[in-house]
Amino acid sequence: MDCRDVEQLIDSYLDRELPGAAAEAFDRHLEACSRCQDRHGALLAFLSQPGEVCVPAGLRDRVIAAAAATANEASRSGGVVPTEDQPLCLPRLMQPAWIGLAAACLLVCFTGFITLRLGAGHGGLGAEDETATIPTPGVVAGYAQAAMRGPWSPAAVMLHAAAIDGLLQRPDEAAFNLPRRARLQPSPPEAMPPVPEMSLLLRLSTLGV
Amino acid sequence: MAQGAGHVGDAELVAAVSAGNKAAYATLVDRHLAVVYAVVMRIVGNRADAEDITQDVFIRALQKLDQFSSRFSFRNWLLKIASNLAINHLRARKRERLRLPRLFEIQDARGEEQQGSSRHDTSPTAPADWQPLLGQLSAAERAAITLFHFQGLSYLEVAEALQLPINSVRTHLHRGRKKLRDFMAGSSLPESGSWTVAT
Repeated sequence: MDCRDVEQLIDSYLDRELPGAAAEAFDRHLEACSRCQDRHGALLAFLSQPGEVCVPAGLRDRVIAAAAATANEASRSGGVVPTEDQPLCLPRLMQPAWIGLAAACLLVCFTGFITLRLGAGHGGLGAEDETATIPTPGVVAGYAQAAMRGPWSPAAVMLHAAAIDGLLQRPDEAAFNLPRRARLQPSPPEAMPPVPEMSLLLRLSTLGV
Repeated sequence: MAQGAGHVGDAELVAAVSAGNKAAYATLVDRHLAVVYAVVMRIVGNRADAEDITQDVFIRALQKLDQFSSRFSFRNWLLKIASNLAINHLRARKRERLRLPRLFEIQDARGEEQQGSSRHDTSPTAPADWQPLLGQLSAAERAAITLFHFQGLSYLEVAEALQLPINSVRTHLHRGRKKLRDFMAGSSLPESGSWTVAT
């Protein structure tokens, strides 16, 4: 083995991938060759003997005391050892994604409730203006999408949806001052507003939802 | 338990700890504290941080003891936790350093003073021997070199510990060694004298 072989094989040697005989030849050359020692000796020495790291006094006791405190805390909390992955101070049910999902479910229920109530006021499903009150899956999906964006977005959508639902029935009157039964009377065909699903979607888009 | 624990394997000690045996836990700490601390110290390069992280490693191990499989080496499992915590610490510190540069200047100045004073009372081999060298490397390169060369782990074990593909480990090792070689060729450490600089 010569100096050129050492240059080529140094990484394999350090990776412990040289076969036994080749590794021995490598070692023999390195012992005998001052040029290769100068070139690679420092790195080889550092990687084989990097210097000792002494454990500070008292660290052992600190580790054991901390572990005992953790175990005691776990036994007090019913055997559940708190970890950083699952902090006890913020249960997973309170995380934002779950809040958004819960709000989406509530909105879907709310939409269904409004639909049934308005449908009953108009004579039930199958009435001639049922398209004015039954939200399409697109609207429901819009609600759900809005709900997943954060806790305030669903509330804003809900208020707007309620206002639109009420006002679209009587765009020329103060609809909320009328009794509910009066508000739910079907409007004359010429006064019918555009398709409410489209209006809702337009309003939702203006809200940035 | 602690007196006769020299013949007891780590797997038995882990089982005993799971059953609530505190002496078994102390034995495991005694057996692995030095290697865990050495790995963490070489990755983070700061004594105070290394002590805190070492403590966290053993607490984390206790918390996740049910996830340990006795088919594997307990030492390697600890080193996996240790290297991950140390690398995460370095990355978090790097982000903080970008956010609060002035605060870290003050901390660094204090740290250097403490390191200087602690050199005399802790170990005969001062951190100066290896710290400036490993300081040239990225966190992953430091971890790979520490585990592969200083702790003698195989490529596969390093890859498992760092949760990286073997080729990535190979790349980190080669890059790290090249940086070390370049640094050794381009500078000197007059106070250490533990290695000679190639000309």
